Amino acid sequence: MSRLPPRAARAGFAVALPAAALLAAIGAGGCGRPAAPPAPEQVYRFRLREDPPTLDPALVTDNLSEAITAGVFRGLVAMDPESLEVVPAVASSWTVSPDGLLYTFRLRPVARFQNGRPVTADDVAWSFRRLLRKDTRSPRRWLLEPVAGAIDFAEGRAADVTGIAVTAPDTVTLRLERPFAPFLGMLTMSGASIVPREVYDDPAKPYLRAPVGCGPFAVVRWEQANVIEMKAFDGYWGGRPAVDRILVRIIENRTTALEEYRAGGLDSLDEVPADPGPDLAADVHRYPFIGVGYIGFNLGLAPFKGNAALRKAFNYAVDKEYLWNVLMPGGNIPGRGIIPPGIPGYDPDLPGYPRDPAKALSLLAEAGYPGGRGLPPITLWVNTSEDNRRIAQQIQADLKKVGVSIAIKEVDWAAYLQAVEGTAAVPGQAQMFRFGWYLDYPDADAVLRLQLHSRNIGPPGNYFRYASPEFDRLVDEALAMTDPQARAGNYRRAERIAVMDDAVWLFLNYFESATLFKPYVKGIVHTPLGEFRIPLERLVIERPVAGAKPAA
Amino acid sequence: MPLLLGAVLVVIVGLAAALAPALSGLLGLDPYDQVAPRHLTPPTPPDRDHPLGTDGMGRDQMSRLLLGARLSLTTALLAQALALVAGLLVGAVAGWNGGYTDAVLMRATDLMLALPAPLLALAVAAAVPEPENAPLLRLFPEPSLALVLLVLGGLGWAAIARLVRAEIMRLRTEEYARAATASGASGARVVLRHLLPNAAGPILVAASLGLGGNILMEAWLSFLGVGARPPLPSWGTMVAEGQVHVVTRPWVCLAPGLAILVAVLGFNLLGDGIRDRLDPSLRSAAA
Repeated sequence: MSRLPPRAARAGFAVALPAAALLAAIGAGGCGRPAAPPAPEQVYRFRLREDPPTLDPALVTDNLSEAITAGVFRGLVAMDPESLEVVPAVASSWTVSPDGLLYTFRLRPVARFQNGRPVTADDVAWSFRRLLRKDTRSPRRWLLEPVAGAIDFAEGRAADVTGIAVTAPDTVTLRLERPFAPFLGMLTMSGASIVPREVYDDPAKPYLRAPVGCGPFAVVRWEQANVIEMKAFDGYWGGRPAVDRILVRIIENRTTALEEYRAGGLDSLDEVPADPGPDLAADVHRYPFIGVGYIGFNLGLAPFKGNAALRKAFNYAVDKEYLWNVLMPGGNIPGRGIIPPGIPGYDPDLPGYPRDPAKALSLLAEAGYPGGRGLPPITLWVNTSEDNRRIAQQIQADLKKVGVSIAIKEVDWAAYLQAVEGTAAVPGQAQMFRFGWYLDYPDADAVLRLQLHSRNIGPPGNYFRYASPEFDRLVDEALAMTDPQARAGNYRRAERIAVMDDAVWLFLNYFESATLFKPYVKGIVHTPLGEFRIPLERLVIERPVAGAKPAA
Repeated sequence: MPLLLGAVLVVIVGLAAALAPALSGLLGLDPYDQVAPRHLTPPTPPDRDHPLGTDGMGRDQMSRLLLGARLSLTTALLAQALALVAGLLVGAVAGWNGGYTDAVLMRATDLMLALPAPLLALAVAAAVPEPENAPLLRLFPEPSLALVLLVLGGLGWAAIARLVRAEIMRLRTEEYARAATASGASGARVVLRHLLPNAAGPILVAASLGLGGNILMEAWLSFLGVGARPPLPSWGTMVAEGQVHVVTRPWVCLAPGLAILVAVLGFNLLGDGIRDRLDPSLRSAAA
């Protein structure tokens, strides 16, 4: 349905052509210059592997939903897709008080919802209260929890949020309980989108299928398991986008999707085949993605418990360069540490653990297992996937070269998570496991604190049961710091402790996005936020139109 | 004709299995070593040093295929031996004794046959996620294959028991059997010395056909990831690892796929051939 049969398209053109020519002839008054045909409609078609779980911005937690809501909605502020800096959106400007507690936002007078109504400061306050309200059941409530009184309101102990105030029709202020540096960045997430009250207050919830926001594209049609159609919003405050229409095609099977891309039914594809043939090689776009991949060591179990030398030996034994540049090229950059490139605090000078079997051997001896002798059975857990199996085998082969034998265990995702997470008190079963962490917000806090702070041991994210008082202190301190440079410095120091001193993981890779784009798709921004956050409003489709050629 | 072809195929596979280490050594190949050039993304195509190229991990495919023959055949043979011993025991006891013993043993056999074997095998194999650390299995040289062996043997005995029971019941009324009993031979002696040798033909056929089935089943379990564990080069694992390259570098899964085909075809033809030879009624019908 997204692709007109070429013959029909051509026939339509043939009918339209004489009329256009006639009009042109009349209009031009016989001056002899043929008028340019009207600019063809720009249609962009991309694929999602399944229906987005929700289009309610307050409920979005996954990237499929974000692929749509990022076009429909805008918050007070947005994330620049390239620099990941916070930039104005519905708010044209803002100020932060010197103590880091009071945020004042001034709204754009031209901002409108897709139903035509201007966006007011009351909408902002109402949208934020909606996110916090218990009956919204938002998994992203925590975005606004730093606001004074937010938790009391969310728990039903207060009638209003004391920290949210509308001081003028175009001004809204947010007062925080205590300074919280990542706050502005969190306001760029889908959960903090501004929605029109008259639509989102309707108990019939029409917005679940027909969302209304103030972003550049409006959803006009959603056929479950088939297609979502979006149209450019003429009243978008940032200017009408170049693309007129977007067709989001739901195609579950990746082989089907690839064939559809090949056949021309898709303009981009979010999955690049492991082995793209020569016909697709030119369409592959690769760019860093804010995530980090690693083998986690369980510091609660033998033999990794209390043995940093052993963990370092494992790190030196594995050839990350070969793994990601030769064996499985594409999708990953060899990793050296925790904070991925693009995130403030990323440390280009972090040495990490380049492959060095000699060092690995001497560290093994230092760890008490010379040449790997005396080690208990070690099992590397992975969740079932073709890629994981290869990664695990490469690590197995590399470790074998320094005398260490490990077994590989593949289990399904649910069983895997259970073995990895453990509980707050009891370590999981898995001694070492392959894991990846995608940063929810582009701040080192989203990985350092959530994954490695001793407060988060167990299911909240610290599956490794890492506990370092100095690391904890640096990360806690950074939360309240307002100077970005100083914060980044804290994160660098914390990362060095976890990487170079404690070798808490076997550092494998930084993520990379890989997407196929037809050559006629222009304006692609290689954003570290991932392929689903490439700004749709910047795309330009220069598709050769069927039937346009024979005009000459 | 099927007998000859089957025998030839089985001998080829058998030789490959028996001589795997020697052949690999002769060619200077190692099934575990990552030999592909460190700057080329494996699988690399066949060349002079690596007649079947390398697999997705850059390991020599030829030596893996040979070692795979050894692993597949050993597993299949031992599993079949296990099934044979258990099947003979159950079938002979049931067939000779009859009565309640027969009823109980045969209902157990029916139960086994009623369950879909592949699914049962999958369920059991998947229930032991870590054979390397499982109590009994870790004593074996290759715990993951020992698990497959036990599963296949544990499933294969029922068909053989049914067959043996029928043969014993048929043969025990023969005059030579009655004579042996009359001259004071014990039941065990009559069964072992007189009846089983006369039932050997059909049992051999069943065992040979079962071998092909075992090879296929082992490959299937390994393909699904519950059989041989990496880095063991089972044929099933090799097909599974090659499937991502099936369009662009088809040789990676073609080689182990063909090996499975040859081995299974060989044992099936061999079994068919033996049956044709042993069964005069079939032979006359064919003639």
